[in-house]
Amino acid sequence: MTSNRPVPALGHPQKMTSFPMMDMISVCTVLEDSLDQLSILGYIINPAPYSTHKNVQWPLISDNLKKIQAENIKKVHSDRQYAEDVIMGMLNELEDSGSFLSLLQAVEMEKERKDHFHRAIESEKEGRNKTELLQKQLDDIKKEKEVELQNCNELIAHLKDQLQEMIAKTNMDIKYAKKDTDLQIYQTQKKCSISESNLQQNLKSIQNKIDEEIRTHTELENYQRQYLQELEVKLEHWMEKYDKDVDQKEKEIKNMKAARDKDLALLQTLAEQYKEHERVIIEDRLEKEKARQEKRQAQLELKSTIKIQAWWRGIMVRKGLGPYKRAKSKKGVPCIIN
Amino acid sequence: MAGEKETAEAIVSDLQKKITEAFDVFDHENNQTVDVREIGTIIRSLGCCPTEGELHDMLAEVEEEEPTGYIRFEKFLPMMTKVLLERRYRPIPEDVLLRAFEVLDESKKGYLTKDELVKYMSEEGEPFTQEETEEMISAAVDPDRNVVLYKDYISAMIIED
Repeated sequence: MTSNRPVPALGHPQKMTSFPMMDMISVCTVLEDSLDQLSILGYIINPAPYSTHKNVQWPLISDNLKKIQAENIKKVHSDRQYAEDVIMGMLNELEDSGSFLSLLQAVEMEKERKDHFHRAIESEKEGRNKTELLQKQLDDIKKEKEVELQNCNELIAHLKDQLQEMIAKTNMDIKYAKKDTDLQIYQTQKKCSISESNLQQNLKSIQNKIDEEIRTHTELENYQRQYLQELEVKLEHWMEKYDKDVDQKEKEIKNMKAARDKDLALLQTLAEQYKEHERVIIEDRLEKEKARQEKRQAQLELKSTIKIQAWWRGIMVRKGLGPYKRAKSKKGVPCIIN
Repeated sequence: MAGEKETAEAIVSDLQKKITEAFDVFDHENNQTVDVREIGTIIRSLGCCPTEGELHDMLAEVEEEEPTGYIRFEKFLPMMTKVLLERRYRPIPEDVLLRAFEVLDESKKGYLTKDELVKYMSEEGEPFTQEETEEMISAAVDPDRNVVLYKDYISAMIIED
């Protein structure tokens, strides 16, 4: 390391390396001492895992060692090694050239390492945070998904139930339908057989009827033929009779016409006679009526005349007129009731 | 009832008194008889107007079995009382009389000529004597027109009555 140090860096330590010879010797001495101590410490630490319990010469250190964990020991060991190397390098440089540039370089390097380390830590921290966040997100998503999964499971269970139910129902339906259909088929078959037998019977009876009809028909036909013959005979007879009758009737009509003419003539004369008689009767009636009227009038006149005469006689007596003047003059009492 | 009977009796006795008075006028010999010919006059003077036929029927009722020509008061009184009580032969009412004249007035002129009147009265029915006819003519005939305006004539006679 020291050997690879760049040349421009040498100038600076030379300015500061104006150690007097004395100082330089003392520093070298101190450094040699530190190296010794460090190597001793290295010896102590290295066998530590095997000799902690047996070595009672360093109780304090061994107590501390007990508490330090394996990693820490390792780290301390490496640190000690590093310090030893640095001091060794510096001592060699001092002895060679009287400068301590290696120390400065070592410090710089250490500083850089520390920064680098810090950066690493920070980036690690960030990474951890990020990881945590992601973990958290992951957890959330996981939870969510679990809930979803549960829901889905529930849904599946529900659907399965439904499916089961549907299957059961369908089975029942199928069973019922099958039964129903079977029964219907059975019923229809039965009906068909009944109607078939009925139709068969009908057919039989109709057949019988047809036979009977045919028989009747032939009988009737025979009878009618016979009857027709009879009728033809009768017709012939009637035709003859008709001709004869027509002749006879025509003769009769002739006679009757003649009689009617004669009767009409008689009627004419009788009507004339009747008219004349009627006229005579009416005249006679009128005359009689007139006579009756006259008689009634005469009677009425007679009655009226008698009434007037009776009245006038009464008047004359009561008023002492005409022939009754005598009575008045004689006694002076002409009328008592007045 | 008793009152009515009394009034009835009173009426009867009143009538009988009148009948007696009328009879007495013609009882010339005061022996309760009158000439058969005077009976008509007596009945008419008592306010009745019988026809000659009816008079004849009444006479037949009161005459003796053997006609003597005289009528006795004791027979006449009950017959006449009955006639008056039953109000038979009442004077002929004006309208009936008018209708009788109208019957004679055949052509409905509203009057009779003097000849018509004389003919009917002296020839028809129970004919008037000459004297009676003349008396009627003098009372009924309108001297100017020589006709009988019978409506006026009847009215005049009835009013005078």
